[in-house]
Amino acid sequence: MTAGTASPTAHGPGRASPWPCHHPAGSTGRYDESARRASHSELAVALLLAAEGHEVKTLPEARGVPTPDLVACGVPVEVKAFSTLGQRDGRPASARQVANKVIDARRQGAVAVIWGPGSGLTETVARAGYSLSCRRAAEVGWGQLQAVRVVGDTFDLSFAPSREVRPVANASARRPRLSA
Amino acid sequence: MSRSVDLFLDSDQPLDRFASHLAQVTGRPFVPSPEGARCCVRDRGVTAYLSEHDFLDEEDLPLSQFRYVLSAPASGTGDLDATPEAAWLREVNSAFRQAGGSASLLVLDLERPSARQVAP
Repeated sequence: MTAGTASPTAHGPGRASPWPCHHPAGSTGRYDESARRASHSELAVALLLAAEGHEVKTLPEARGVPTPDLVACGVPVEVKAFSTLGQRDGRPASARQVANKVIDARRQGAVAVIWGPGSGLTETVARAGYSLSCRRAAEVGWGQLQAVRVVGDTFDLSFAPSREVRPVANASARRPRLSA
Repeated sequence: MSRSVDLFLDSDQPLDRFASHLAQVTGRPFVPSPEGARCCVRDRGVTAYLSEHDFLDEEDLPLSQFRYVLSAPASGTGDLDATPEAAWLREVNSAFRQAGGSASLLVLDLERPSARQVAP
């Protein structure tokens, strides 16, 4: 697992953070699926965020308006998941596909989580894809996005597109174990 | 939603006129959003959004050749190509082409073309 700078707190408010909350390290949040049943990838992301202390809920679908998948401590979170290697005939996720998922998430959440376990997505490709999305966003804007997180089998990267194109310290130095 | 089926369409018409054209083709109203950047259509349990797009070309997805995308969020975890959203967009695709529309491209989750596109 590649992660950014380890922090004594899982996350908290700061210049680069979209989160209004502050959760001490080791705190555990909650997950509420009563509004809508989550997909597998949404559930995985929800549990990841809850393990970092957030209060996470699914959101019901709104008629006529694209809605984010989750809300975590009041912050809308959009999940964009990759298909598995098998579903894509063995071709691993590409940088342009990462960029397109980030661009796709712009209208629906302050935080975009690109979920790539099982897709063959590598850290190098994830970083390249984020850079591509930054170049595209320089032309078309970031929309509502304040943070992008890309998770793969062996890495977990966090970026702050509202500030810069460089990756910032990872929001989490401890990723919970998720069952497949 | 985290997954979607997307029908990429090209037209030189502005969004409102293109939406009117698609409304004629599909027989369903395309309702503009308050900010005017997209239109929403519903049919047989499927909801889709028409807008211009900013996506990058992928190896086998020349998305920049198409000005518009009609995007239908899909729930569930099964094969996207077998969802009601994919079936509905295939119908729209077919009707669009029969009405004299230009080329189009049906894409699954912005990752791969549908294996069951309507023949040109």
